Amino acid sequence: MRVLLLQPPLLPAAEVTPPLGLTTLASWLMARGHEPRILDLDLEVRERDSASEDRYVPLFERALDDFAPDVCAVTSMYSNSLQAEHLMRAAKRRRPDLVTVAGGAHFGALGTASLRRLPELDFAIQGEGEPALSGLLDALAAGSSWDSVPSLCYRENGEIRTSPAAAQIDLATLPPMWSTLGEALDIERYARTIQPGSPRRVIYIEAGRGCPFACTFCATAPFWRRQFRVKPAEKIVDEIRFLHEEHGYDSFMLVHDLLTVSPKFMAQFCDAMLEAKLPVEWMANSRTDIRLKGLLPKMKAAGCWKLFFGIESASERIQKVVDKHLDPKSAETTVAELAQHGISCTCSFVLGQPDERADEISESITLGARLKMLGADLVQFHRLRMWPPAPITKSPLPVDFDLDSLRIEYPFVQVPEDHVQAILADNDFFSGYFVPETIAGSPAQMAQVEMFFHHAVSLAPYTVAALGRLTHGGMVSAFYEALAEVGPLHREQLSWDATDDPLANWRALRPLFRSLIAHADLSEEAKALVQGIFGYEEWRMHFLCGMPTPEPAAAGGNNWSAFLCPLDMPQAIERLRAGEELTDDLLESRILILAREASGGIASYELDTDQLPELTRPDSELVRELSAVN
Amino acid sequence: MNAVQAVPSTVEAPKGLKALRPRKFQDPLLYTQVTIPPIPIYA
Repeated sequence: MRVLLLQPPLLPAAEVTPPLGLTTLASWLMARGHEPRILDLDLEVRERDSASEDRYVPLFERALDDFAPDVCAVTSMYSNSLQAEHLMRAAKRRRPDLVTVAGGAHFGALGTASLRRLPELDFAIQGEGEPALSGLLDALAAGSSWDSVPSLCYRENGEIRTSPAAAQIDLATLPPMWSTLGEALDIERYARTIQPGSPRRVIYIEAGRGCPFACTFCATAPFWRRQFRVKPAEKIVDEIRFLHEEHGYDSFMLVHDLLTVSPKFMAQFCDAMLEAKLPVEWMANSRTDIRLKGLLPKMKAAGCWKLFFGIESASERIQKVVDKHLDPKSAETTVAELAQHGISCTCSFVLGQPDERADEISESITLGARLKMLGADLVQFHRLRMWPPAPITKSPLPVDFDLDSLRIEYPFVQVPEDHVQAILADNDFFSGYFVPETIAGSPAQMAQVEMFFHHAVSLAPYTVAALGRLTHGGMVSAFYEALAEVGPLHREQLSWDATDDPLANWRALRPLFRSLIAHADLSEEAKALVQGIFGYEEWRMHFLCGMPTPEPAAAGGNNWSAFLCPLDMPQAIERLRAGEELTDDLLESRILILAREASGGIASYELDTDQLPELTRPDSELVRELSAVN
Repeated sequence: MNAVQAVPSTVEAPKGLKALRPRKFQDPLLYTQVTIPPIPIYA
């Protein structure tokens, strides 16, 4: 059977990697004699601000005409489900004889509801797609009944029926992935989206499926029935070798919900990578309480550059509420250990559990800032969302639709009004677009917390960590007062593109930051400390970006700058990193100097304030020397 | 300037500065990449 596998617009971006689920399906179907072709609308429409229906539906219609498939199968992650529905409608309008199938995270979790919503949809596949889709295509090709095809939702005599779920496949039986795709997917088109000079040529590859844990907010663990499976290590290395040697990829995201849960597998994989001697790197998902210390040198040598951790909360109480049971203290130890071995990490938090208090969210943000200081590359804050089949979606919770929260991950910069109305009309199906009510704040306040601290921790982690520590859980309450005074941050004020100028975001955050510090419940001395730390971070940030600070530094030249810091910042940094108290004795002014060398090196010096005249005298020998640093 | 990544100095302090006996000043964040955190995704 000819089958068009369809990726609706999900997150159009300059650099695009192949849609992994569809790519795996394509190789599976080819090995069974079918003829798949992938149409990836993220690849075809790469600009997020122009990914409108008028743009992607004609592309799809042209592909239907050119390829003339017998079946069109669409996948969906929650935020592109409406686009998937538009495509199915367009498919039946253009080709009423075409068989339509939907699967993936959203349709795969809500198969019967999908058929109920969408008359143009003939079949939905629940859970793992490979055996169900190939079984359906076999049945259609043979003209036989599909009632023995597993994991299938279909209509019969006006009723929606569901066949029993398939046993999950042994991932060792998956056919070789990338080398067998033929015309199903042109990998080189993806490779060409990587910007020239990009430090990493990144691609996602599947390492396995299934996390054994039972966190209440997690949709993927139950989707894979919490059964941990991995591909054989050698098979993963073969995929890496092929993609590196044939297409030049050198950075691999090993997709698996929790790959490191088996240190034995990790050791095998590292051995296989070391033996392969490929000049590539990789990253994987882990938990901070999985002890990898003895393995870290081997992982680093085998190319591991980064791990992803879901920390979720700094509160032990919330850890229990969400069934994660992670000791938040393990996060600091693990991130610091990774940094010692030259391995970076992303740390992610989920904010806004129904009974989570504002002070608990403050503690989580403070921990996030500390992790950034200790070596985390990125710290992310997400609001809790209700994605089926996550256990939390089974409990009836009061929820609110929050457009601003949706816009963060919607395929379009502006969510079209008809999409909003469609979502509001079916909040059972679109529960992922709704956020549970929380005692920590209103939906509007929580959206601001998510947006502000996502950027604030990245740009000024010392300030956030100090504020969090000194306010003893009061940071978020003070932030709400700042919001009331300054007004909300607007998403349009911020860039979300890592290649843009970070100073633009600093300027957007600055008024709220200053108001937050002003409203924090702090002694005069503590406030002076936080203001001093903020001033230092502002100076550092501007110097690194090659720009003068909004409040001029004490002295400076083309390649150097001296800052009159109202506190002993070097000592404050040490204490913040060690998790020690910030006390009034730190309020001793210092001169801090940064000088940039032609090679890109940055020299940093600290002087007593009585030496400031040496730096401000125009005829000073020192000024001449600093200006000549290279 | 985008995605700034600085590295520690590899040259000696200027003589005039050395004469002032500057103290050690270390901030690891000087050497981490200054960049906009991308849209958060769960991976």
